[in-house]
Amino acid sequence: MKPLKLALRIWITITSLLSFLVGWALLSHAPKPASIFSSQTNLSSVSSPAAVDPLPTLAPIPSLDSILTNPNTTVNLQPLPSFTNNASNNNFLPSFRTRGS
Amino acid sequence: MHSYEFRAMNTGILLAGEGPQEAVETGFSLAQKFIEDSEKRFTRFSSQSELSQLNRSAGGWFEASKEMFAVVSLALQLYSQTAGLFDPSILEALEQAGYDRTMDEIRLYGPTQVTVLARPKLHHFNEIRLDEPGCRIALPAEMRIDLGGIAKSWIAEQAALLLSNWTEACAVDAGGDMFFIGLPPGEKAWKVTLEDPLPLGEGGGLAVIKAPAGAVATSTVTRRRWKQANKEQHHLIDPRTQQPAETEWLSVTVLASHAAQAEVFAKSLLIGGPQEVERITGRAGDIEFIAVDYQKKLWGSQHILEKIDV
Repeated sequence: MKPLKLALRIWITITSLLSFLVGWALLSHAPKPASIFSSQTNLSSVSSPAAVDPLPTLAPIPSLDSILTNPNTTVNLQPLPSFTNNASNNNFLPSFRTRGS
Repeated sequence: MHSYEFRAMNTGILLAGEGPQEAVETGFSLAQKFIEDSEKRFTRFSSQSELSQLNRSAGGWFEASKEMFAVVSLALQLYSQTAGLFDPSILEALEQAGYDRTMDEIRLYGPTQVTVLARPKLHHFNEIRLDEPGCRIALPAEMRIDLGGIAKSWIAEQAALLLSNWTEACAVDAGGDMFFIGLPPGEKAWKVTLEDPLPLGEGGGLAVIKAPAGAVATSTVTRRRWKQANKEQHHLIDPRTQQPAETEWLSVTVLASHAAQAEVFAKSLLIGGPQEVERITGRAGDIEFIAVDYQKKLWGSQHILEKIDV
């Protein structure tokens, strides 16, 4: 068994050394990684406020009162009052249908 | 205009009112309470209702509430005006035709399978006796009555009168029995869509009725229908035959001063058909009607064209 073990150790050592050398050679010839900045851009131009689009202006957050009194709102709040308020629309008329019984 | 919908009397109820929101909403609450209390009083589907107690008292005197006395008195008056085409004593025939539970239950479970052993006993509603000072009613032995349609329309009118205390103009629509008080702001009439009575219709309207203040009611043979032993039945009993009426029209809509009057004459005109129009309208006083036949053709009284847009 001893000669077999010795041969195995030698084989492992040689293949490890060869793999290391091949890897070293490949990496030394590989292309270098590109910079995250293009060649025309530098850090100072990126940080300049003039080059950034202005942030949009947001509408003011509506108050709870205005949401509750606006019938067109789509915000789903807690249980709505059961009565339908159509006071803001003077032309509103409920739909009456004969149905029949 | 404010509006509010809820379900009662086995149908959809729509309340509408013009005026300050807080006042109108108070009116809505009171009208809803009145409708729900009245339903408990007039339903025949609860053994505890006043109507069921009245029916059990047949053969003797019954001490009625003023509301029950008012509706029964009105029914007696309208029985006479329609020469018996409207007769609340058809309850036994209605039950034998299968309408012995609420329409919601019939739609879910079908009618009770009963074996009809004998034809219903023929009663005439004018056999009842009223004691106005004592607010008592006496039904003849074995007579039982159904106040379904007339009670619903009376309740709608009373609820509208109640609501009018809190509004400038208002409307109550109880499943097609409507009562209008005042007019909507800037309008010359209330607009009511005359529905296609056929259930497979396109859902659109056949015409728009321009209703003045007062009542609009519709009777149809297409809505409350069911099958009993493979036979199509509906809820409009012809008192002359004690069977579901065979009608030439599908629906009749009546405009009248009072809701019960509109409801009862709509029913009577539907049962009586074109042959009875002259006789019925001659006794009805100031009513207008519009009828829809099986070809969806419209028929109506002399001045109804002034009140509809086709």
